[in-house]
Amino acid sequence: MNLAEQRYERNPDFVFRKIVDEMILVPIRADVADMEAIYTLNEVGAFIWERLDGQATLSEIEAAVLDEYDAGTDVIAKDLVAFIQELDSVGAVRRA
Amino acid sequence: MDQKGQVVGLTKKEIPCDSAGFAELSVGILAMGKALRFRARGHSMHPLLRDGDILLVQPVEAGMIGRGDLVFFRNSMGQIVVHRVVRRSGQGDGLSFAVKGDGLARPDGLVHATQISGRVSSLERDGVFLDPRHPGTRLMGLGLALLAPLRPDRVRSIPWLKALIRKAPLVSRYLA
Repeated sequence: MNLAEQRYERNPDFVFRKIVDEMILVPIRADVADMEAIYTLNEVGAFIWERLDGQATLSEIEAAVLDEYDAGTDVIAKDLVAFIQELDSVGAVRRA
Repeated sequence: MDQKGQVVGLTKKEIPCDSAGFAELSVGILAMGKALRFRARGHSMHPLLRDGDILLVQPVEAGMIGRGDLVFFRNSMGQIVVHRVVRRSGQGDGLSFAVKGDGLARPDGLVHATQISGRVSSLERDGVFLDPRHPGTRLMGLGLALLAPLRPDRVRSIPWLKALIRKAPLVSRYLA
């Protein structure tokens, strides 16, 4: 299947909070939040994170980003894939 | 654009435990019923707790907190503090605790039950773990906290404290 048509959802074992202007992700393992392994998302990353609900495809999310932010299609497409792969590698998302 | 030159970015981050962001995040996580693992900063709990030690904090009902416990609370400035309960007073809505850093000469004053989010259940230093809830460790910590106004060398020469440390190899190793 084409990656653009795939759907991803947030791992419920990650707590996320918006603090000031940053979206913070904290992994929970065995009911323990590890504050030594915190991640932060930039503004566009947070925008995408909020849409990773298992319903929207990556191409739909990409279109929403392009609607909201002034950036080139190629740049967004490339960065979105890299971002999802990064989130997947730390266990923050999974394929729906 | 982020530091890596990407429009979309994920970055590993450290949040110092004395920051407002840490306070908001940690209190929220404990309120969800999850435990918290983080690196302590500061010297107020010396020698049992040192700068850089890793703490594990469990959410706790204030009614379960007793003398000698290490509690995780927000002070009047909104900062997170981990200090020892030296006295418990009142009950119900009036429950409060006198807390103190083991290495500090003076207590912090009273902390209301609603300010407390958790209790420390494990200390980790260089791969050595210590349970601060163990009766011997609590007694030793309480002794250190109450005797802190004295000079450290005089405190360490108190016979019962020396004997207690000698009888607890893990504590001795932890304090080495």
